[in-house]
Amino acid sequence: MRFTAIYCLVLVSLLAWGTAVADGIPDERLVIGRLPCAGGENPSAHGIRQLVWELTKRTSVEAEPETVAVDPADPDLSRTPFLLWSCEGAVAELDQQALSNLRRFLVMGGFLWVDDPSAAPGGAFDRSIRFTVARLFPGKNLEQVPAGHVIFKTFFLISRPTGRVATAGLEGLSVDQRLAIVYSHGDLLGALAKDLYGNWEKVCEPGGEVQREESYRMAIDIVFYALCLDYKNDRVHLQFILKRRRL
Amino acid sequence: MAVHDWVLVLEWSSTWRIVLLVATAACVFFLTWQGLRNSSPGRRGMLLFLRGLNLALIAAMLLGLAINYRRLKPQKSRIALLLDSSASMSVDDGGSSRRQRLLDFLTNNASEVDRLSKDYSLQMYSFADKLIPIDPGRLEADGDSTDIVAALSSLAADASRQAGQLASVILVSDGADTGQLKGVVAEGKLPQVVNKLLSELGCPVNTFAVGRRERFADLAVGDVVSDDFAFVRNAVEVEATLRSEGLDEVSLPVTLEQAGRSLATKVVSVPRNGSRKFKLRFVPDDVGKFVYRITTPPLEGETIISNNDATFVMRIIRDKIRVLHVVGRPGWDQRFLREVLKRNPNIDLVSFYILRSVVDAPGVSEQELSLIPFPIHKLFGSELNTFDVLIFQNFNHGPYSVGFYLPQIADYVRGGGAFWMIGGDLSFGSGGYSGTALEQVLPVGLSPAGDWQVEQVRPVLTSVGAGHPVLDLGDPGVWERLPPLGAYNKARSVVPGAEVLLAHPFERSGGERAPILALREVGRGRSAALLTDGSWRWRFQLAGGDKGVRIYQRFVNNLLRWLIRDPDFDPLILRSSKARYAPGEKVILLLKAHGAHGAKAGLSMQTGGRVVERRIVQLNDNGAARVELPPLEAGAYVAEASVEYGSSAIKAGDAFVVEDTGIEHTRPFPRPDLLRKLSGATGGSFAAVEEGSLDDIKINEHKHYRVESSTTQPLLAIWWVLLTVVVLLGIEWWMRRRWGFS
Repeated sequence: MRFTAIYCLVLVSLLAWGTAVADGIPDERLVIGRLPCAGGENPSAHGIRQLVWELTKRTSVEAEPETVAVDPADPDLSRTPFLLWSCEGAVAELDQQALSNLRRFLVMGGFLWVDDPSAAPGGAFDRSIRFTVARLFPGKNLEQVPAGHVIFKTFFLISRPTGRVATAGLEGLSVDQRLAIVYSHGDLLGALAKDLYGNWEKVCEPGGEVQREESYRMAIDIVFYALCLDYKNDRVHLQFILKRRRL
Repeated sequence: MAVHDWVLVLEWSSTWRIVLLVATAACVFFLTWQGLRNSSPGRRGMLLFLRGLNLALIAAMLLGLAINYRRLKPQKSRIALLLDSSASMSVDDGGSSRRQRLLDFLTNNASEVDRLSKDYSLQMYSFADKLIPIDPGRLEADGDSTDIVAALSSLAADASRQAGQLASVILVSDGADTGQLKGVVAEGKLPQVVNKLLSELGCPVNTFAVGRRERFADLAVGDVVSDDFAFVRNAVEVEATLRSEGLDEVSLPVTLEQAGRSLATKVVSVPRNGSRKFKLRFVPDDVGKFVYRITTPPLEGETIISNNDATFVMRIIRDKIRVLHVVGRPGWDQRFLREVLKRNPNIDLVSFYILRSVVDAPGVSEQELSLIPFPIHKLFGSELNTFDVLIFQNFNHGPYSVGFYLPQIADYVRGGGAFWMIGGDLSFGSGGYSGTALEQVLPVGLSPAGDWQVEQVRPVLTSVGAGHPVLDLGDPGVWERLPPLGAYNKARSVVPGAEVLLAHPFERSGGERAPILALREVGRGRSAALLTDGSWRWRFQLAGGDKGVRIYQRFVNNLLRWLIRDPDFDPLILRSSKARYAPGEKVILLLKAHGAHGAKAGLSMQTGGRVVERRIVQLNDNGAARVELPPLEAGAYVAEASVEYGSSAIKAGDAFVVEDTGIEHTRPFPRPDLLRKLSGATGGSFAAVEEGSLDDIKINEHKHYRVESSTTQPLLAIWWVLLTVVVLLGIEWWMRRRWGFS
């Protein structure tokens, strides 16, 4: 009984701390909001944790290692301008209010990263996300992000998009000349995931560890794109980047 | 002595009556001719003559032909005496002013003037740009131009309306024409239109020259060609002309100055009695309206020194706002600010984000990164002054050796630049700026121990902020609806003279509410401190979505416009209705004070460092006032207004020029050659006032009469006309009887 009380106290304190962070998220830290899945799972937790670790180690960006579950129908969705949608199966079906709220979020400047853990084009996740995107933006489709897009040079210079499955590409949907949705359908976060003992959870096919490093770089570039947009298209960068691309 | 004459007049006839009578007379005459066909030519001729004469007389009587008897009185011819009253007549180039020598000439010729007045109708005019009847004793020398052709044209037009034919014109002038004759060179001919005008006048033009070229030595800067506005930090070229008269070829420095500061200098060679155009190039470094002066040093023996400089006013505006945006770490605050800056077509944005700090290890070679070196030496050294606004957003200077440049950045701000520091855990006190040169130009004092506070803050509007244009977001109640900030930098104090627009609701810094947004005037520049990295929430989180976009955009743009001293954005605006006023023109100043309805404003005006006007102006309910000043003396003026806002005073200024006599001032060279040409073209005399006499002038002698009285008598009422008709009819009847006609 006494143990239960202490346990409850600790739990309440943790919850209170978590709420405090959510209410007053320090603005210098990136917090990733997680959109719901039909099955309620969170398959990307380890991948995100490892991404944030690498992000903090390799770049100046500060980020929260834990994602925050968000409700797409919640008007406070805008507290977390960076959203992630990654599910083992289908994504949660959204009602009209949620669709409207999420659409406004994206139009107003929010960013949604969609990652398919199954890396299965035409699979449940893929079908559900395309269906949802079509409802979000009728008449618009996810389109292949061209190789010269700034998202491939926001921090690392990337020649090809990759993930746990190398054949995967990168798709996106633009709003007001900005990628509001980026869809990595090669299980990009799966390539980054480590278990609690520090072991890679999944094997990258067919490129192995080189492909995993490329996946890190792609994931970091996606985060930088959300934060810096077309900064690397500024005139001052172009000469340097072109020179390095040629080398 | 009176003279009598008469003329025939047609009193009351009309066209239809003339036609009817002429037709009837013609018919009668034709029938008479028909009846005399068979007679001898002599008899027929005589009878037709008598019949025709009778018909003519009868028709004339029936048509109302009358005799007008007139009594005529001889009339005096007119002589016009034209006296030059242009400003160039005030030049002293012969021991006294030209005007004085003109008056002396009239005094010396007083007996001739009396004689002319007696024999002719002598009319005296002054002329500069137009002809005005004048009493010579009141002759001034203040006309803005000299237009001899315009004066003669007026005289020609006037001559047709006045009694008495123009017999002669006497023109006393220095000949320094600034109108149509300006371009006539000494060896050249008069323009065709001028010759036509002189022939229309129909009388000799006698000229008397005042001022002699051999006694005149002058350098003049004039004909300044400049645009009304120019772009700051872009080279501007101004063209002007240096004229030399009575001096040998000379090379002189000409200098372009603004507020006593030399902006450009070059040496210009001017030929003897000639002119040379030159261009001066400078790069304006501040926006606003300024008075510029082109000057050349006076030479010994110069007749006029005041025309050795020329002033002009130019408004310096921005082409684009050039912004340097330095960010210590990517984040949402920078992301949304960048979006606003990039979308504004008036902003030329140069960004540098620290994507990797000195402790970060990307784990790859540089060639695999898109990162570029942070060119601090270029940005904060040679290029700094090319930026209008410098933004440090959550940027700590320490790791990047920027500290070395902080004094230079502070000087840049004092010298007219704009600096905006935005908060974060790497900014203000937490960014290591306490005790640095940069802190000295910030609106807030910084804590050396770090000042980053992670707590939700909903900032409140201060009384200054409520009326400040920076926070005029078009929605008065918006500040209550804005989402709270996630953290803020707690300043140690607010610098005296700085304005706090947004403050912490209860935390205090140095006895005042902890500032969230503070502004400061620093020397010629401005600085702003936004002590949070959470303003992006206003953009993204504000309920209503797109409304938040507009509110945030307006906030950022307002702040930038304030920082760069956008003239239309100052809380107090003072505008002169004109950049240049003509001599004698009233000066009109317009005042508009944002949020100072019904307040009083102080207004002062300076020229050459001397205050010439100081007054208190009452603003109306809209915070506006129109001030009309009496004509001011020629010169470049700087007007300054100030209005009390709470405990601080806000100032605004404008510049304008009251022209001296303009072209008269720069082209006062005497032109006796021109006067000689005018005389020569009309057969008039020419002489210098010192040598000539009014006795020698050429006059067209005409006799003119004025009708004193007249009476009109119709032919029908004149007995001897009627008798003549009867007698002629009797003779015709007698002849016809004698020669056997019926």
